[in-house]
Amino acid sequence: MARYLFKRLLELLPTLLLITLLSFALMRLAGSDAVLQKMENTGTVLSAEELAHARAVLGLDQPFFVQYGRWLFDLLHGDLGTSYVSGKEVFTTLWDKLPATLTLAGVSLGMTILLSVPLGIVAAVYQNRLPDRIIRLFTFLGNSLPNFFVALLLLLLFAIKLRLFPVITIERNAQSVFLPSLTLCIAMSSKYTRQVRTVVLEELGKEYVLAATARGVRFSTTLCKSVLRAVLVQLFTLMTLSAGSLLGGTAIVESIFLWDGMGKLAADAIQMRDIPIVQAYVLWMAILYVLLHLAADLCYGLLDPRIRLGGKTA
Amino acid sequence: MKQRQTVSRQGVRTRFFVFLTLTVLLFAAVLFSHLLCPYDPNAQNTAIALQPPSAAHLFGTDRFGRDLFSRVLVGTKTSLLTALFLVAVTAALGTITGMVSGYRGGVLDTLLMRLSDLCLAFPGLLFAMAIAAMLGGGLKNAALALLLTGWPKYARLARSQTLALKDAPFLDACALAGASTARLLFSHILPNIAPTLLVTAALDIGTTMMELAGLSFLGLGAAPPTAELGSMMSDGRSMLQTSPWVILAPGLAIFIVVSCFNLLGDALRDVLDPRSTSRRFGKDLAP
Repeated sequence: MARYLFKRLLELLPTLLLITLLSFALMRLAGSDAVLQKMENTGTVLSAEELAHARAVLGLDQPFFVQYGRWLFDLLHGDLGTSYVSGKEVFTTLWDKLPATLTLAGVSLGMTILLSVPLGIVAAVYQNRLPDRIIRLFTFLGNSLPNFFVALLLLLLFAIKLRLFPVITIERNAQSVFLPSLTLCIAMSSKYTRQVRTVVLEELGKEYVLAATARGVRFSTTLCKSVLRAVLVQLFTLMTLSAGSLLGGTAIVESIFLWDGMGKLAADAIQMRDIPIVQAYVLWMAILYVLLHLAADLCYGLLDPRIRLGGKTA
Repeated sequence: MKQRQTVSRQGVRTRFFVFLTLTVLLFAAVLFSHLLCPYDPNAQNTAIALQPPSAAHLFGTDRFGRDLFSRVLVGTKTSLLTALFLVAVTAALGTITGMVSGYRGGVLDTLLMRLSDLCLAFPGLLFAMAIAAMLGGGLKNAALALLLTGWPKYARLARSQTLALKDAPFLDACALAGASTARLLFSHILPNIAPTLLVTAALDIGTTMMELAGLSFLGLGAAPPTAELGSMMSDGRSMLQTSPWVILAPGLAIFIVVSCFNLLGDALRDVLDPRSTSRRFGKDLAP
């Protein structure tokens, strides 16, 4: 196990390195640097020599890869630079917002699982009958509505017309987390329910299900004891994959509900072209995403003895 | 049993043509939107600002007194044409990369797949946001950002399908007959892998439209004077309480167009589903 983990982590290194390189290159794409930004923000005008001097002090006149190396060195020491706008350290700024985003992501992921796993199974069991048709209609609606429209509709209905939930969610409590999570949950569960349905349908079509029925095993027993256990791994994979879209989706939803998390921070930073924050956000998310995939791969072995480690795990 | 299967295939085909007609009609309406607009979509008249829907202004007016019905029509054109163009380019780029990568193999394959891994490592919309932010707003940059995050999906699909086909005897026969690599790829492999890619692309149109609108909603897409559905909704955000129609009109437009393309994509998949027919694409669609 330890050896396998080590091997996997070693394989991750080039990917992680490329991610950092790309994040760094993004900053260069912006066509502006720290000196110009500071000048714009403070409103001072500098001569060309003063600009060159300021760049030399910050090392911005060095070749690209030298700058990248220094940036990477700082990064490995937990230094992501300072924000152009607030002047605070990027690392602490992001770190402070992390719990809010994790709460939101966790709650919506939980809601999604509670909603879409049972619905997907029901839809598969009642294939092409009324329950399936109703569920499919709802997943179709969820798939065709952009999440910012869903967010605004929910706000209009629950916060403005019915006054059940707060419009602005500055405080974090059960009431304020509900609408933003529901927005994310609607989009995710529409996709996930369909996938659960497909996976369960495929499993139900296998011969052992027919054989069990022929031997008089009750259908609910086959479903709970064999079918569900068999599809567990696939459901788990699908879920880790959807975690990626969840991370991307939080930015829009957080900024609509003014949920004070990393997504809103990033969306605001984008508006103000606060590049160090955007860069750090993208970097964190990419690393998180890669690690999630690794965690999923490691869990396969625990869930399915057939793909135990070491062998050829594609 | 066989009889029943034929009947359901017929149903699947009918459904496909119904949705195809619907989409074509919608597309035509959007394409000729400038003829259908009752008012100039950019004409401002603050005297009639924020009027609720009425007979004169079907969807009401926005805060500059612009007719929302006209703006939604023109905005749908912007969003839909951009999305269609973007999906076409993304699919073409990804498919060619994937086919070449799968057919050639070796170092090129490893390199291209590493590159696609890298693009996939960033959550799509997020990466697009970052790129659009770095390049500055504008519909063109938003589209470029989505292109960069979109191509690996097609590349992987095309690659795996090409790999499965690569050792087929008919390809060897063609190569022996003197067909060039380009000819093998485009005349022999592409027609065989096209159905899967076509379905993926069809289902992608809706998603792409929503993502583009999302970027515009965040202020990273179309610039203010252009009517675009996402930026129109972003515009109406502060008036959600007093004049919800400013948001509802473009929102419903997105919903309708996306639904149409999703339905078409689903129907297309059923028509082309390789599991329900052994015949190849092309012959299968012929009446």
